[in-house]
Amino acid sequence: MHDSTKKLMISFVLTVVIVISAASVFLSGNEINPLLITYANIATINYTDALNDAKKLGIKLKDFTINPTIETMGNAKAAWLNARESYSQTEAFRLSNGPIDAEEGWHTSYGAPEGRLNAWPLDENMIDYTTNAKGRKTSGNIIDTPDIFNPGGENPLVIDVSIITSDVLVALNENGGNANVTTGYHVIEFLLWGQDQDYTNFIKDSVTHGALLAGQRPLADYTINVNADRRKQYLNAAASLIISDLESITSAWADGDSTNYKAALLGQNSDVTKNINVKVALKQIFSGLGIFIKSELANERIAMAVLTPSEEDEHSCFSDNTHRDITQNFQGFKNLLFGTYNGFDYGVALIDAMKDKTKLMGLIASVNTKINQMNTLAQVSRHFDYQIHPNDSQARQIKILKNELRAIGDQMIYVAKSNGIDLTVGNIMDVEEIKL
Amino acid sequence: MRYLVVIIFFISIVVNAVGEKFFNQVIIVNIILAIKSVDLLIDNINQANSTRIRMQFGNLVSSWKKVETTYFLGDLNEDYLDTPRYIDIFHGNNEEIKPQLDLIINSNDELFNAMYKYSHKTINALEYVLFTKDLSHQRVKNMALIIAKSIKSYLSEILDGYKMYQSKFLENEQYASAILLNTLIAGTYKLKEWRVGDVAGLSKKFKNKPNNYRAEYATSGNSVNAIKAILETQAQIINSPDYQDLGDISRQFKARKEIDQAISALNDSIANANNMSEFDFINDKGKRLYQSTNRLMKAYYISLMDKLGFVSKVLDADGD
Repeated sequence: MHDSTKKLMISFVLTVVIVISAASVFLSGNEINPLLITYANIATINYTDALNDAKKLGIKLKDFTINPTIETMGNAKAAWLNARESYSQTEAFRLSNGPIDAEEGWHTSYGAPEGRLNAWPLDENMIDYTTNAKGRKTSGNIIDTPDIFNPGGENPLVIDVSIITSDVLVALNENGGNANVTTGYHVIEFLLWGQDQDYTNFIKDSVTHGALLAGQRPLADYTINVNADRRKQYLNAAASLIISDLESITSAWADGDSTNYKAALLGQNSDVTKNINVKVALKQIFSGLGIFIKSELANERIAMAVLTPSEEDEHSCFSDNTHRDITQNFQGFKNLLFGTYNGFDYGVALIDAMKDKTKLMGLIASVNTKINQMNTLAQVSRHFDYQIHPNDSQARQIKILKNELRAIGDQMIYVAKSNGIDLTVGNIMDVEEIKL
Repeated sequence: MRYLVVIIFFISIVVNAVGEKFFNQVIIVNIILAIKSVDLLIDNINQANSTRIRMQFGNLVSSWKKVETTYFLGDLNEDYLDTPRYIDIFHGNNEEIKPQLDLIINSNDELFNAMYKYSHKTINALEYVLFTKDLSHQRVKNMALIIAKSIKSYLSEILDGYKMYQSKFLENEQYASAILLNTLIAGTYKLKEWRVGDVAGLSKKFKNKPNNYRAEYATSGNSVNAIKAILETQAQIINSPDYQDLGDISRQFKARKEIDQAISALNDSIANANNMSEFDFINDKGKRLYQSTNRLMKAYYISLMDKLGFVSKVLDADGD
């Protein structure tokens, strides 16, 4: 038989098999696709949790700034760590052209606030003092500038920072370039914990000393320090912004609103022009999950840190909470893959149609083991920034973790195919990364 | 689906692919030559022979690029995926290592601790130290030796890895051909876009902003040398008379026209590179090299990959 004939036959059989196995996903009539129902309901509850946890953070920051003590500072830090747990799981909704970060479509009307909520890494020198590579305290930042502030970078706009409000922070955020981050969780993290790393050499760890120590910002920064009130203003303004952004996203996923994004995803928006085609929606979801797990989590967040190695490139470098970021990011991915959230089953899952799950489940089990080990060590022995030291035995484990996460990203092609969606390698990688 | 995988497998076993001769004469020989190059460089640094250091660094660049051009060890075992990053960071990260190296030179910290980043021990760092610093200073000389020995250690690791996983490469001929072609495609993109286009002001990123100093080895003047090594290695893969190579396989797959186009674009690229000096990226010579490497990439990516169905079949067979 001629080669091309063989190829055609294979492709024909392949198509038939895919169509049969995926037939149940695309229901006839007005029934809503069950995969999308599961996905959307998890989004509703996950973003609601993230919003509630952000509000608790806002309250604890208020308490702290009204009465700054060791105890209230500790409570604020605990609230931040708690808020990261639910928010980090929501990150699995990113990169799927949804309201959190859509770059096109009507749902950009929610403000696509991901960049304001979770921008990272920061140029923390722009926000408050740090100890630089020469061991000197830096100045000329937002906190210690009483009037007009120039953020620097490319074509920056000068901003009046005499009173630090949410509007001022929005005007400064990424003003002059992507590194000029002034909003979001990591800004609050820096203002609560302060610098953890030694900018000369993180292995020397001469700013904070110890494998189980994070940043040690003194309470005096909020009591007797000349700029104490400005830091308080900053904390409260940043928290207000997180809450209002999450309120916007939660409204996008709220039940009972026939005009929001959730209604459109489920094909029930009262404005039918806003409804999203099922196949398009699923393709965006599979593609987004693939990019998130492979390019964002595996590459940007883990590979950059462990392969350099660089404390600057660990996600929560001030609080040393990176092990939890990785854990909860992966949990968010698993929520959507298995259709579960907080141990509850939310219905038909993306993985259900996949016939042979052996390889994917093996990878997930292996990643779970490595993540558990990373968490245990971060609690009892050494934080993530010590685990990535070149001579630490964990560094190799974290590199393998990164490789396995990338392989899970590749598996999304097959999960998608089981559900009748064709993806290419290009669909599950960041465009910039393809060039690497 | 399993039936399909079996069908694909039956098709695959009647096809011959690149094999043992190629592996031994290209992959193994090139890595051994690279190790020899770095060994000689270490000797020259120890003897502080600046003339020989300059020449031998050029040899190391050339031999390393040959290894890099066919680097598929990470496909055979993912533990080796990142090894090239410990040798070479060109276009690989956003770090500015020159000020970091200056800081290390001027500090009193133990070099073992001060040079904690992998990037501090790469060929890029070695070029900066060897060509801009005074090797008569003991600390600088020690840094150069640490870097060169680190490169040698990773090259040795690569050699051991290839020997260990040689059978995996040889046992599945279609898989071998697929990863080889993918390596060629990825490498040709980087050659065209980063090593030529970015310098010549012809890439999207640096459109109309040519700058010779953006070249890969602008400090030592080895950028064209590196490009020649990459292209010569590609000839070893697709156009060698000594063993069955990817060109022969392509013809067996009735991709004669496609492989001939690739060889033609490769020969043009080699001729263009041979006609260039280090300062020619920004003139017509650079433009010609960009155009021929662009044709080469298209020949691999659009024509050959499409014609050689086994590449996508291998990917399909890996799934559900």
